Amino acid sequence: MRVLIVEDEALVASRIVRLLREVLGERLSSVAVQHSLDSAQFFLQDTPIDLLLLDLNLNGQDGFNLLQQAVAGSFHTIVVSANQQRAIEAFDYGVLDFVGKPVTAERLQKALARFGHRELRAAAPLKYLALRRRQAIRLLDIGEVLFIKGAGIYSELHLRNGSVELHDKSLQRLQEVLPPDFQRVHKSYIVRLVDVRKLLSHGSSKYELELRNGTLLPVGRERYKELKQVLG
Amino acid sequence: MWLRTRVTISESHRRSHAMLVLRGWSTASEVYWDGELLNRNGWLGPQGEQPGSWHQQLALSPARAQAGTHTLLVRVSNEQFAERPWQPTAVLTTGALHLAQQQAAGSSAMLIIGMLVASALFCGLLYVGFARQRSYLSLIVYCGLHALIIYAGLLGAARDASPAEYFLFVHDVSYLALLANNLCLLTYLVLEFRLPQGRWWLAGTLAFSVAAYGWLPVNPHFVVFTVVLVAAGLVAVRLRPEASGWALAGIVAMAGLTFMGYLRLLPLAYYWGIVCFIGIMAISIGRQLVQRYREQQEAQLRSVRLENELLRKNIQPHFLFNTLMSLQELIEENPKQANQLIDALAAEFELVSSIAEEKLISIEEELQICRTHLRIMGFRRQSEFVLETRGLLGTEQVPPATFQTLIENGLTHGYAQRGTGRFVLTKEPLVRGVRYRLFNDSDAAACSRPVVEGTGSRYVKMRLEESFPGAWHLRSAPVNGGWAVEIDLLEPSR
Repeated sequence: MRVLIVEDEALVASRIVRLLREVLGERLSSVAVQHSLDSAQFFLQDTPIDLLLLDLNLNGQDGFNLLQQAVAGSFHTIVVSANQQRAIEAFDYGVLDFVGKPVTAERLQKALARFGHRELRAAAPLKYLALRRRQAIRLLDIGEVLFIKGAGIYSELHLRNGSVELHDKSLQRLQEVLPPDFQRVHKSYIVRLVDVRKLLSHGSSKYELELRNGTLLPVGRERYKELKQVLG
Repeated sequence: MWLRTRVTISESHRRSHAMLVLRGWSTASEVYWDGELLNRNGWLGPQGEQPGSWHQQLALSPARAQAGTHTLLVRVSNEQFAERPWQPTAVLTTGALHLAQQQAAGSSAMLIIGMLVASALFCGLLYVGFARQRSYLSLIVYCGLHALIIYAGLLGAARDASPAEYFLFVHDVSYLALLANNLCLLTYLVLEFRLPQGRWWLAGTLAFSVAAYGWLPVNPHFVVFTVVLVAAGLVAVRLRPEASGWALAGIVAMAGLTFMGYLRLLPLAYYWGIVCFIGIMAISIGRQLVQRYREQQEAQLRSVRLENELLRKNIQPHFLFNTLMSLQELIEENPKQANQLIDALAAEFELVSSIAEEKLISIEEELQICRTHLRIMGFRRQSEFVLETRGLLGTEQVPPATFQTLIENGLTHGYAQRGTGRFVLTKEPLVRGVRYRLFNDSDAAACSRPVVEGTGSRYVKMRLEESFPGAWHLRSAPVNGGWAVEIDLLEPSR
């Protein structure tokens, strides 16, 4: 796992590195520390990572600016901050977890366990999806999303207004932070259950979902039974 | 001296019990009705003149009070009180009407006396209960003297009062009390609204009263005083419009009612004017007291909040948890430094706890807190921070944690991985006050990001306002080589 720690206090950063090594052991392939938002943004332009550990108060700057950019990226973000009052706000943007300072090995392990485990969702679901644009980040209300289609290492967000937006996270990583009513129905599709009108069976293990707007989406064979139970 | 007049009794008055009321026929008089001696009041002079009563109430029998024209003849001598104003009156009335008028006048007088005494007691309570403000004493004397004037008027109006008693109670006591009262009212305005050159206002008015005593009649005296009081009220309104408008309104209302009395539009109008003025002032004082009480409550609340905020600064999560995490790492990496950090942390807690309840502390204590805080941050950032001072005596008084908060702001915004940091606190005299300048060699000025006002800056401003209300300025701006915060503490204007 490639990890970036953004923390302005040298000793605190050293402490987190020490705990990461203790928890991840061999799974930690690389770890880097950046002490400011500017240097972190610069680092992320050139260096792919899997996980960002982000302090929200960096040299008097608000870490939410970086957080919005981070959650739009392909990697997951765990906030490590003493300012626990902003935890709920951080989850709205789609962070995997919020670890309060002082960090313990047990708490860090619990947060890292969410990473890459399909069955373990984020500690709280997001409310906004951050979309990277040329010069800015656009925050999209999760309620606007009708369904999500996998597009390689990216995802296509199909919105209620008919438009399609591209997100940098893969379908797998998005699923880990989406609210529980977003269900994986196919290896390439996630839908919101409230928008499903009915489940169609065409025989020969061919299944489809009809959404309320008439859109038909394929349903994976292995997911049909589970979906049928959920939809009643 | 003989005075004669013709009196006509109509048919409608004939059936009533007619009464002749004479006042002010000093010193002695004989009253004749249709040539018959009706009453002898005292003994006529010039030799052996004996004063009679000031008032004479003479009942006319039905036989004497026949409808038609009658002759009233008064023989009078006035040797003893010749220098006193002489305005004798004779009124033909009925017994019932005269009694009713006397009762009405007596009741009104007692009512006004009651109001004035109650007002004096109210002002006394205000004086005792609220910081013994001397202006309230002036109002107590003002109310008390007016009650005395009215009571003296009642004594002078007694049926058996002699001319000497009448002149003493109604003229002398009233005249002196009126002068004293107007001085009291002016004193109240001077003290309550802190009029500039207040002593000159009072000295000038007193000099005029002394100079005019005895030859200037009451009415012109009153007009002069009213002009002075309105002028003082206008000055007060210009200086302190929020409170003095009521006082001016009270003075104008009192003058207006008095003028109505002069025009005989309202009985006892002057005294009703006094009551009106006292009532308006009671409202004004009540509003001021409510306002003052609220301000005191807010000031106490603000002090408690600031104390709370100061104590919280050391246990706020960002400071405490980052320090604890740094300590955890130092225990692993450098136990000696870990011990030093614990010592510094304990020292800062102790220092802040000891001064948290103070509004002002010596700058020596403040510097101790600053240096301890820099040691803690030095360990956390693995940097070396120094604080230099210039021009300080050490005994100067400043609000607690003012410069510590500014240093904390400087550390937060401009020392990302710098390794070293230098702060310089300088004191410079101003023409009227002193300037403290805290310089830091941070990178904050080089950053394009605007430095927004945070809780630290607000804390400093609230502390300055608490200890130096309206007499401070705070500026924060980039300077050559770093950032500087200037605090000007101004001497209060006299």
